[in-house]
Amino acid sequence: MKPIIDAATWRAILFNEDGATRTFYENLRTHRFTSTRCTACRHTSYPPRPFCPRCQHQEVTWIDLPDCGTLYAFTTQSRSLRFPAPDVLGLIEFAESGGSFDRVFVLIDATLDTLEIGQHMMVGFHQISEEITVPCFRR
Amino acid sequence: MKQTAIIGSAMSSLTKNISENSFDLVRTTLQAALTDAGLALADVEAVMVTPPGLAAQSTSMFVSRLGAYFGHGLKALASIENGGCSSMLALRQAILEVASGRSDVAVAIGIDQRYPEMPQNGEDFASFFERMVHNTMAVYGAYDGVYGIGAPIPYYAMAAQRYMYEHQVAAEDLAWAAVRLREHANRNPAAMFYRKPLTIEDVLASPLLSPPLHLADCSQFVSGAACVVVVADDVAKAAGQPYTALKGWGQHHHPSAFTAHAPTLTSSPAVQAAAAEAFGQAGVCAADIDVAEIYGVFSSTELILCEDLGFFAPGTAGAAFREGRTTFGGDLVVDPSGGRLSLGHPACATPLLETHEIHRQLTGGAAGRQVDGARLGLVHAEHGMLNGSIVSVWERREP
Repeated sequence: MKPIIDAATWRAILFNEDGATRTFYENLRTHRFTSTRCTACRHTSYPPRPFCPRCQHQEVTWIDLPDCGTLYAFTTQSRSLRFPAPDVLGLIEFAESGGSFDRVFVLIDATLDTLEIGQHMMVGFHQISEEITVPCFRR
Repeated sequence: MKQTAIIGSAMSSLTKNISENSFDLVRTTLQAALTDAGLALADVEAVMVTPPGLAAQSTSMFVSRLGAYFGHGLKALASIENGGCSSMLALRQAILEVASGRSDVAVAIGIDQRYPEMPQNGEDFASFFERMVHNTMAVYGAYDGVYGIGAPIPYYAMAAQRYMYEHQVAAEDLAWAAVRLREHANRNPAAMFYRKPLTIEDVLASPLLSPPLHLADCSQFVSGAACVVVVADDVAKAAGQPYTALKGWGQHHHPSAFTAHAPTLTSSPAVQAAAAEAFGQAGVCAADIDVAEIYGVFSSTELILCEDLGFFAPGTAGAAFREGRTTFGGDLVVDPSGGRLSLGHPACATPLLETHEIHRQLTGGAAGRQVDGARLGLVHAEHGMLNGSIVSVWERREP
């Protein structure tokens, strides 16, 4: 079933959201965790958008997100279609986001009992399929 | 604008999975609400419904076919969707239809039907998985959906974890919310968990779905429907029975994806803004509310909502539930129906189930769980992950 789920997921990625979504996943494939920054007010959006949701300026550039941050919250899910349970999910907070956005929701490469709030985490990547790689933070 | 009133309401039985065809469910629930109102189908001029939920193969033209099915002309007919707020927005449209003077009798109907999560009607596994991926990616989007989120539990689990961490709250305090709701459900024969007692120990011993949330901290999606009948205030007065009138409405849609943009996970700006607007319009404050039905889909959310609505200070709702301040004889009664956790949660219909309960409470018709002397009630509805909310304040009126 994995090839069917992966293909359906990729179709859904291309169908949902907007044109920035494809670039986001293309960058992840080359191990770059990126988002968009407004060329006028320098606001960073996450998830990326092809415009600035703060000042409505219509031009943005792609930037690399910080490669480390702190663990804000974490849990596992018991019903994932994508990963064998338990897979750990968490929120990473970046010190230097400057209040432009608060945190990112990512996969965490660690068992639950080794994690605590406030822990320092580094970006990594987890390849799901040929098309799809996701950010995966580790201690 | 005319003053409006609720003069009748009804709910269907709630079942884990779809138990009857959509039109049957709508028709029988509508008929029960009209009987409660002392009206007939021929009196209805406006019908506002929600889409029929995930069990429908397609929601296209649902309301159009439904309108034709009733067999008489209508002055207004629409299906209204915004997640968990859907049926509250249908009620809003019904109220506006009467307030504008176009229609004399308007009904709001919320319906949500679900199939078991397995292949249906000869569907093969490949098609089933494709459908599941399509549905969940549509709900959770291209950035979160990729992690295989199949239910919103991980989001709320992280909010619960932050709530416990920031306020030094124990798992027992979350469990108290689940236990109080079950105590209420045990007084309500319409609840899915009627006569199924639950203890703190039961909650903590139930499986951990997404830590720190146990199975018994979570509501389950169910199938069901509810209907509310709206008429002009003078019509309600002439009917000679106590009725329910809208006193304040607040609505706010915060521009946040729950995880990335919510300024905090332990309170909701949308709930606070909607509550401030509703209380301001009603000229009352949180302490004046006698009975509330809130859209707390997890025990932790139940606590956070009570704080955002102003019933209790941040971090203290767990203690309030434990000390009995949210149940009969307390400061107010929160979710006398049993709430989302123990009444059952057909998401699209839930706000009308809540409104049905508040109408019952304010008109003295909640046998076995009547809040003594209830005059002022509150209904809260949300969509997304609490990033959009509607708060409404209702009062009892005498004929």
